[in-house]
Amino acid sequence: MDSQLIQTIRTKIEAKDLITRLIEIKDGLNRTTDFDELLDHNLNADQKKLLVADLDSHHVLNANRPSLNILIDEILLALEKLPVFTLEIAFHPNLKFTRQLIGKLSSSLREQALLDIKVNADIIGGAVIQFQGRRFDYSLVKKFDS
Amino acid sequence: MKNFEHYLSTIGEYGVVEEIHHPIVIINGLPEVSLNELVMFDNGNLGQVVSFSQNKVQALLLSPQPVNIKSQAVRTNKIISISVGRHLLGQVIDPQGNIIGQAAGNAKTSPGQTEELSVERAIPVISQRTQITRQVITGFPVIDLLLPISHGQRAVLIGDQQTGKTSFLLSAAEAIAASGTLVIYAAIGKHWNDLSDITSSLQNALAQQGAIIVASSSHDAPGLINLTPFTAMTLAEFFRDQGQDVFLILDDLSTHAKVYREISLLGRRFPGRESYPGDMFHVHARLLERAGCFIHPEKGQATITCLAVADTIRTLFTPIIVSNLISITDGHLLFDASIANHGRFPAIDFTLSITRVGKKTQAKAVRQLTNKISVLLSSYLKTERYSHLGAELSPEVRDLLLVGEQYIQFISQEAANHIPMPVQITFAGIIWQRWVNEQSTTLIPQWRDNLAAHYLNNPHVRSLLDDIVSAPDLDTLLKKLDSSREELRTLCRTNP
Repeated sequence: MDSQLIQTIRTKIEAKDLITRLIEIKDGLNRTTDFDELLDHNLNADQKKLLVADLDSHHVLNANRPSLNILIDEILLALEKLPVFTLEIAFHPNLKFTRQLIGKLSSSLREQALLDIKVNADIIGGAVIQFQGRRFDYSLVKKFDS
Repeated sequence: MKNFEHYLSTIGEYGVVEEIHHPIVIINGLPEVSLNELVMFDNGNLGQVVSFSQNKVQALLLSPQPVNIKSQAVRTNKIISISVGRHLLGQVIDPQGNIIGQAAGNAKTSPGQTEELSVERAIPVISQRTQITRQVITGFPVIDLLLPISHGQRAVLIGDQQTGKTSFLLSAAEAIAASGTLVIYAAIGKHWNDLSDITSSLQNALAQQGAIIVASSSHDAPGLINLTPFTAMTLAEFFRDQGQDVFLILDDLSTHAKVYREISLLGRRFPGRESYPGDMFHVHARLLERAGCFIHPEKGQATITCLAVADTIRTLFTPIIVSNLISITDGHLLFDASIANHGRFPAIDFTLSITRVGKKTQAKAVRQLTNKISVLLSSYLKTERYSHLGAELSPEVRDLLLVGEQYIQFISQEAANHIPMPVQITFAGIIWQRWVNEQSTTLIPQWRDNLAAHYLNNPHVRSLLDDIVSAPDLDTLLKKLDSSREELRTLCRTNP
């Protein structure tokens, strides 16, 4: 699905958060007629702007409630289907490290993927990567074992 | 089997569950998975890969516990296999080869040498097979004389429910196990009550390690029910390779076909006739072709005799599964509800049943006699329909009706009553020689059983009957019968 909002999502946590917010908006459509207020309540300014742009590009911005529901469902489904790049490391990463990693990931992967960082002290050092059905173990514990 | 983490770290491939249509699970990932490979889910459940496309893998769950969306699955690099060995003799096992209950009175043997065998194995080619030569003795004259089954034959038992198919099979299995052939009974998707009945019926054979039951209940996962006949066949192949004759019962393939249909439809495969998938015939043919008579390097030959069961509705054998099985096998035995309702056991309609290879294993004299009896019974059944009209009957027709009725009395018996083969042949000859008059017709079952009891308990009678049935042709057999007429008459009339 072609969505500007989805393209801004970089991590699994962001995706989960957005999914929760979109579900809130979908539920809110049955309770309120003020769509603008509903978006203000659930999304930040940037997200709201991008969602409105998405709705506009799909010609459902001023359409009826069922059409809005369908488009939000499509965005939710697309978010669910985004591939996940799982990185297992032995330490808690700081913000700078995470941002650098996201930047590196975006430039090196051909498709959009969500970064999912897992902390596992048992691997001692190095990293274990899971992506597109494959697992690559570059951990220190594996080196020690072998 | 190792655990999930082991396979993830050693094979390094995983997939994520995207859709569940229980028992079919759609997995995204597993880039190098192969067909029929086992996959393990993160909760320890196992699945079998049934199809795949570029990104998606369809797996069939092998346990009733569900898996969750977004849960992970890993490759195991294994296809479904079972651990087989002589320790399984006398046991009740599940389709994965695990012992699920120890038969009463059966002492557990040590595992000894075990082998890990895949349940999907190549079908033996023609050069590995040999001609059938030996007859399976079931103890039922209707089978042993009129519709003989040979070691290595494949046959299908068809009939409505409650016509005595399972009772017949269990009784025949007891007799066959007693003769030294290993009986493997595959109870496919049965109720627990029925499984309990099957186990108790085969109690003696299990106790003497002459039988194995492979059981799946109707509450088991469809994947396991689907696996049951293949596991039973794999077990049969293991014992065949050891030089043992195996009698395999698949009860029943209609249930198996229904489960396979359910799995296929949930897997979005295109439905064909009666909504069965297009490969339904192939599944059963691939299974039954693994039975037969094979060359064995030490014993000369080792056989897998396979009797499959299929249910009919109102004795129609045009439905796809029944007609498929008839065309795959070397004969069929039709159990007729109207015969069962007349109280006859086994309720086999011998006019509509066929054995394509069994007659080749009968001795010449027996074959000549039974051919004559078959023709006579066929004429009897046609004539009997009109005899009640009350027209005056010629002496020939009266004789036909009398002898026909006597043969019907002769082939009707109790389920647990096994008649030794020489007694069957001798008594069939006695009726053929018209030694039984009209008044004594109802005494035939009793006389037959008297003769059988004498045969089993008296060595002299045993040698007498063995000598009679060793005749090279029918004329000699009848002459030998005539020469022992008075003695046989006395034996039949006296209860030992």
